[in-house]
Amino acid sequence: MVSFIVKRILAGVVLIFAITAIVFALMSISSENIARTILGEFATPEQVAAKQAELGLDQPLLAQYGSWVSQALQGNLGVSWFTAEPVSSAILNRISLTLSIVVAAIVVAIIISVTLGVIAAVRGGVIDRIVQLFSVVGEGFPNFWIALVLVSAFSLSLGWFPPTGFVPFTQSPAGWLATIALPVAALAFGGIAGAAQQVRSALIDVLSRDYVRTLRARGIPAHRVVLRHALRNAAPPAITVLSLQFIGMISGAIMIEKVFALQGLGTLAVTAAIRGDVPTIMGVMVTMSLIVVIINLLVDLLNGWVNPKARVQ
Amino acid sequence: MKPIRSRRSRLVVVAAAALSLGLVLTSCAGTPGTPGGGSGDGAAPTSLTLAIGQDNNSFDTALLENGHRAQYWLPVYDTLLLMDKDAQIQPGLATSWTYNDDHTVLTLELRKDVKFSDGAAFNAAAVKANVEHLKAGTGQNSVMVSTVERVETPSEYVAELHLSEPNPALLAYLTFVAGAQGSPDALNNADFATKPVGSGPYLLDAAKTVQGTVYSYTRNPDYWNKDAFPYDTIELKPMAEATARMNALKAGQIDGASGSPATVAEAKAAGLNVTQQPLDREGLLLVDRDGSVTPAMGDARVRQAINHAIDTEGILKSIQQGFGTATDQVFNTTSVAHVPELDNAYPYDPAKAKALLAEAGYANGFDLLLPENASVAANPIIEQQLGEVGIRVTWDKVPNDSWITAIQSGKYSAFWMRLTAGDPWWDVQKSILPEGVWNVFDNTNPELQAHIDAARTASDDAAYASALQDVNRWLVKEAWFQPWFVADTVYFTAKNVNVTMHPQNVVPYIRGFAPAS
Repeated sequence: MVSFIVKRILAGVVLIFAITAIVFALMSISSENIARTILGEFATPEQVAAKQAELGLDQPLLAQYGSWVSQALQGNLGVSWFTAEPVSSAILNRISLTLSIVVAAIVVAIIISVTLGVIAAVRGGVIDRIVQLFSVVGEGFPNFWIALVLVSAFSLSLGWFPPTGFVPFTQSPAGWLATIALPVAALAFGGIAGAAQQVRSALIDVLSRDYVRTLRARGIPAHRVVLRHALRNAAPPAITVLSLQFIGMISGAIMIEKVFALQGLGTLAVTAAIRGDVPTIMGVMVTMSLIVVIINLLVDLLNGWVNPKARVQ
Repeated sequence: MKPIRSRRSRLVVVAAAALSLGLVLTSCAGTPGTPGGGSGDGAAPTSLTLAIGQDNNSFDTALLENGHRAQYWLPVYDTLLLMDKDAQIQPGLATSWTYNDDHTVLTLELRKDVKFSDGAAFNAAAVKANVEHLKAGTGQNSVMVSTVERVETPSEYVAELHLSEPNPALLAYLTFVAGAQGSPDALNNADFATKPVGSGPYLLDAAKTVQGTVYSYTRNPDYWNKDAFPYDTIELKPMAEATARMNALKAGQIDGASGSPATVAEAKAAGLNVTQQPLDREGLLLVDRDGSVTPAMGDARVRQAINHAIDTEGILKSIQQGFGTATDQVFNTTSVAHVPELDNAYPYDPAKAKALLAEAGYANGFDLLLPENASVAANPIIEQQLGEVGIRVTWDKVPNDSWITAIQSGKYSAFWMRLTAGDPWWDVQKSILPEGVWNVFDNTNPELQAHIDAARTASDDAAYASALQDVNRWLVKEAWFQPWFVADTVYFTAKNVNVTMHPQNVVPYIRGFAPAS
């Protein structure tokens, strides 16, 4: 198991390097005008050239990338070219917001989708058909549309939730809950729809197996058969889907953050990408890649824990 | 498959469902009110919360920007002069100002009761340090002091700005970024970009400020003009999305934000105050006036034909939704250079356009390469209407981040531009002087130059206005531009907040906000 973890970590490191190299190369395509954009329309060609040199843009691409990697390995992600804000500080200021809504959304998605999936698989009938319909239709609605509907209904019409902004948990737990409720609901909606169908299908498959019949024949209560035995065996595909949902939610958070005017990693990434703020983009990409690598590792470990057959020898 | 029938099984399922819904439902019990928000419940408002479409770039006085970002630095920095709602110059940190006879030395008498928040005294040395800091920096507004050769300090509270040539816009510049005064002891601090030290009415509250998320300000207890600023605290929130700003306004989370013509009806329906003023000039810059790239463009009749060929009133109605004033001149309708009768100098008249082209020897039209900015909704209209008179447009796609570089490159004979039409001399400097950044081919003309020189050296306001109007008439006659309209900038405020727009800026200055009586 230890060697498995080490291998996955090494693969993750390689992945992060590959992503940073690709992103750096892509950003460099349009970086020739960055100095002009920063300095504005009145800058002289000499000032533009000086700025290019100050930013290191007069160096060969490999040298630029090498310099960035060298600094990043020392924990220095640089400073935003446009706001003078240290990139690490920009990320730290925003990551709690993004993780707040993404983690809460995945927790809500897990609980509701497992509940719906189990009910649909076990009860069948009308409930099953409703869950299936919800799964198909639910995945069809883009999360930003859900977000706009939620804002319109619960913020502007009913006044239950603030339509924009974020209150850190440390400042006010109630305020935190109020400000993340709608973003979490919007983000979780698609996840619930996708995962509920997965749980339902996997559970129906497991419940039809011989060992389940045997367990029932031994007189084990139905709820124990479902929750303790069948659900555990049905879990791996659901966990995989939910892990993909989690990763999808990180990118989905970009639109959600825009609708709710949340200054999270998504907003930071979009703003930086539009204006070509390479240090900020690189920092955000490293952070997001790291999150994805960690999630994938945890999912592998979780799969092994719930299903011994999935464990690596 | 056997359904779950036992009581315990049901309990488990119900508990799971309840738990899952709990997270959402419990949030309903959370803060029902509004974070931020400036007003409340009949009590005198003491806080002002604004959303701003762009994040702050820097508090370093050399890097400050006008426009939307002015609202970030205005609480912490005073300016040497102020501009009132009628664009008249008023005292600020400078109590009086006088030019010498040839307008090359501007003498400023300074207030004697002002201190910066770090305790440093405001005086002539501080003015000198600030002008030199701005001039030496790489900020977008260092151009505002480009004509200041040196600053002399004949006494502690008198500063003299010595100019390389008269600059009629200098007083206006001193009400904008060029006039912002930071503590001379802080100008070179490594953290000056994030820790402003000024003499303004407020102090940046570092504990409550999260860069990129919220900028919080508290009153400067030592401020010399507290009565001009009725709010005790200010919160400024970067909010790029127009929809989010509107939602925040409707819900009472913020007190003010910039709007757009498209959302005015929604704002009015929601009971918000809507304020507007003419600001940005939109249209084509016909920069190849010598025909260097496209020979046809060197003929004034061809440029006049382009002016007749495009239905600017139609563009104003369809794209700008009528929020603006159709015009054929480059100067703002509020400017002294504005000549009302020039507003309709080139009515939409394709037949006349064709006749002018034929007269110029282009009866069969000509090819015109234009840079394509994907954000310009009028592109198809330009192509179609120029095509109808025989000018065959070919588009050259230009990415947004390369736009300025591309259009300044000298590759294109004409291009679309939206520029602030503010102080008339600012417009002259940017777009008309040979060295102006938007006079791409450095065009000039003796007659035009004579009018410009007359304006530059005018001895009084009337002479200045008259000379600028001559400049204007010449530009319209020679069709150096093809303006469409001066667009109105739109600002929304909550019902309990009054706002006075600041001339020549897209958003109001902080001192323009006050509780509704």
